[in-house]
Amino acid sequence: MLERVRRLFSRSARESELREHLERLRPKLPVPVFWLFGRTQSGKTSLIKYLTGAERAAIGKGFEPCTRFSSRFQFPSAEAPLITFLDTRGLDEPGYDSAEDLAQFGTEAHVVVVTVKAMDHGQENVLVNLRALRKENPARPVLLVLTCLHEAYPQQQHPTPYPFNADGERDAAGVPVPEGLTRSLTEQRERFGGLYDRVVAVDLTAGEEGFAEPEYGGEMLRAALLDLLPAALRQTLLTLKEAMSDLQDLYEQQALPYVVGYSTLAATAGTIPVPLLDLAILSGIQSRMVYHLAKLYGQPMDPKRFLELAGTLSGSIIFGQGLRELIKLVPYFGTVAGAVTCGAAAGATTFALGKAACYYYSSVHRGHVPRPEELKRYFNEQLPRAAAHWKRIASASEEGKGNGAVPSIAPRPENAR
Amino acid sequence: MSRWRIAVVAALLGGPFAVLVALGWYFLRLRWGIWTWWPLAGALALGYGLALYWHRQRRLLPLGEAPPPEHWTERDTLASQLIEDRIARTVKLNVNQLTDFEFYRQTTQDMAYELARFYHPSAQDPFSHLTAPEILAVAELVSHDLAELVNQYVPGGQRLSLGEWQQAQRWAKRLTDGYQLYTNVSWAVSALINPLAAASRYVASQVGLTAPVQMLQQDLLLWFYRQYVRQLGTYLIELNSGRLRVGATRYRQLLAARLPLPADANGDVPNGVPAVPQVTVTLLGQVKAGKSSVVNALLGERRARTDVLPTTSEVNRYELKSEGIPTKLVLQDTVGYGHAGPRADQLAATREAARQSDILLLVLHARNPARQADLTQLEDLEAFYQSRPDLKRTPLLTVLTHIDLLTPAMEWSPPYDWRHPVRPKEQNIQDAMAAVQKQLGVYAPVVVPVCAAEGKVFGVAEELLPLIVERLDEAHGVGMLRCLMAEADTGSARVVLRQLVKAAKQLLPVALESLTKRR
Repeated sequence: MLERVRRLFSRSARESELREHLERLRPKLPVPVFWLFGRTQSGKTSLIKYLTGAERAAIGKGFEPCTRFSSRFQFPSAEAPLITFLDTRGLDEPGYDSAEDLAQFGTEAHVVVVTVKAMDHGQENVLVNLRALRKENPARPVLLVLTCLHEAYPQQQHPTPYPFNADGERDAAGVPVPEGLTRSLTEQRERFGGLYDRVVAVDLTAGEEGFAEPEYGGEMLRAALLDLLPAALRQTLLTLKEAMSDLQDLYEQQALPYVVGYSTLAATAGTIPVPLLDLAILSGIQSRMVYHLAKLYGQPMDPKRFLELAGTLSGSIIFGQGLRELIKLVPYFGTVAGAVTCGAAAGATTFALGKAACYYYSSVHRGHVPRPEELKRYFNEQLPRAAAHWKRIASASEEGKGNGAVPSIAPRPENAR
Repeated sequence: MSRWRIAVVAALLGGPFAVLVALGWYFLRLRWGIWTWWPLAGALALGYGLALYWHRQRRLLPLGEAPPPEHWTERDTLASQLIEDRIARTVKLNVNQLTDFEFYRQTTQDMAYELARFYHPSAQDPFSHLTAPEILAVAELVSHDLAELVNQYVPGGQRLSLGEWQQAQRWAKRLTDGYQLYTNVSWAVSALINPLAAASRYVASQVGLTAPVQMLQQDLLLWFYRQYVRQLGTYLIELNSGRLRVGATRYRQLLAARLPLPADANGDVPNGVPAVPQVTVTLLGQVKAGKSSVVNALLGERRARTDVLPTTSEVNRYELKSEGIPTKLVLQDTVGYGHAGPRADQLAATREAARQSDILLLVLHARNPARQADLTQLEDLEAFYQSRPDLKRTPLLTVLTHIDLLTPAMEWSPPYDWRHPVRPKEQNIQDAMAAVQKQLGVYAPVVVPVCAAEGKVFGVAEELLPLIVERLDEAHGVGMLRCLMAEADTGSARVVLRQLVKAAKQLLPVALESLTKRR
């Protein structure tokens, strides 16, 4: 055991092998890819911020150029992504050619999200390029997001409660909306007619703008995105939301997406029907997660600390996982059944381990190192809840549907402490 | 008055002084001795010395360091440097050269060739494109201007005939040759002919200073010669730029109509030219940038139609006459670009309006930083001016609208002092301005942040209008030049037609006559 852990830290051939496996794994991850399409400052970053909870500055830094006119943002990290955003930032630049982006993202993007400021009618370039996009793949859903509603009623609060329906129109029963906004929204809907599948009106603003409701229409946006995503991809978005709700601790808010990300990675690794292969990958993934979390919490990750943590928990993980590997050895039936259970178990254990790591680090942060039995108890609390959740996801993605109620894995405040 | 009468008057006027001199001499010699004359002689010597020194220090007559005409293009300014160089070279000329008619002819020829070469560097014969009326217009304009200058600066100049001038020359020569006895009478005569020269010479001769006299004379001649070079150069530039194709009379009319009228002008503006010079201000920008709102804010009333949807579908004109503005402003509200709505001809109208304006306001939405379409428009305009070196670049102001929507969006409590930002909004206004300058670079030297929304107007009267007024002179120049060139282009065809008709009218009877006679 000690030997193995040492090997993990030695960055030897083992490391590159792991990386190779992860490379092969990543395309199989159920990561929704949103292709953001719209003029500069039409609300793309606000949308990412709302969906991920990431900080604006972090989003800005996280974008990596991938084509001449576009860049990619993987949340929370490129290693274990949960959501990927592709941003066509060069839409208004001279010589923008959607063909280049189509070649790159054509098969990758699941939903095209067109952000359009409700009051900005200079959309010629967006229209021209969106038409090309739509023509290339008419089946890919397009969501039209009409943003910055407040520009129609400057220095006034939003009309509450949110009066727009699922078609971006004002509900007959809703509160009155400034007439200029209604007409402008209608104009935009007509302008983009035939080029979108769903439309929502939102106003996602930063706190300093001074609006009472900084996430105006956010729920409608999330619902529309879930509707448009292929069933198998809905889970990550839902999981993330579940996991993030009620989180008070700022550190945990930052850390949890990574935990979910690595758990999804582990779950996906677990579904590969090759016996005993994923066990090695799994421990690799888990140690990377712990290392990543240590960095987030600002803790030096030396082998001693790692052993302290791993020694307490790993016994139970490895033992359970080992048993399940045996199921995979049974031919035919075993492959399918084993993959499902193994994937779910890998995801669940990784999630519980991540949670325990967060618990460990936040305790260390507060100046006390948790006792092994304390840590173990916490881990055992988290595991069954996570197991139920991941099992559900695994079977849902296996059947290609499953938008039903997802068991909550959100930690209650007392658990988070 | 005959000569002896003048002699009598002079003797009567000068006699008492002579007696005083004699008495003084006698008295002083009696009392203190002859050495008392020395301080007086010293004062004279000092005066002589100072006259020489100050003469070398500066010209006695101002050359009139007038700024170049407002309508001159960059090319014209470069050409004018050639003239200034020539003027700078004319320091070492003697009186004989300056009074020689041949010398002026040679100068004219040299300058004509030099400037024609500058404007048409590759032409085999740089004069080949010039027409006779144009060349005559130069002659007319130069003569007219010099006549005005002489009237203005040479006392009695309007009565100075060529013969008299030569006579004055002769007299001055005799004087310097030593005709001292003749002095009193000759000065009285020359004073009638040329008071300025005579007066200065009289004073000089009375104290026996002949060198400053010659200098004064040369100064006057040199001044005249330089003025001649400058006026000629100016009109040669106008000639080579093709602006005299309209003819001397029309050229002067347009110049008078376009330039802001001086305060003491008697207002006799030629017929057919509007009495109040006007300046066209064109608002250019993306759709929904707030062009019509800025028009309304400038007018102080809601006259341009505004809406949440693109509204302006053609170029609209509004007149703005205000007490603070010395001229009439015509505001041109154009069709916004950047959305698929307007037809191609509407956008062409916008582009044409930009080219046909004296001041351009590029209107940008502070919250919509996608400005490629604006950059494209500016580059298009730049290409237009590159292809027309005979036109002058229109002064451009960048107006940043909707600053009330900048963060924090819920707050609007002007005035905002973005030059010394303290509040977050002030800082954000400054940042937005910097972003515009970064995006548009040299095209946006001046950015004016405004809010033009009804009831929340800020920055229009305080910032934008004064900046427009500052550019009025430049704008007059731009407009004047454009008018001239447009008229010159359309005029030439019309004139040829008119000449043909006229010729036909005269030839037809002759032809008919010859036909009938043959029968």
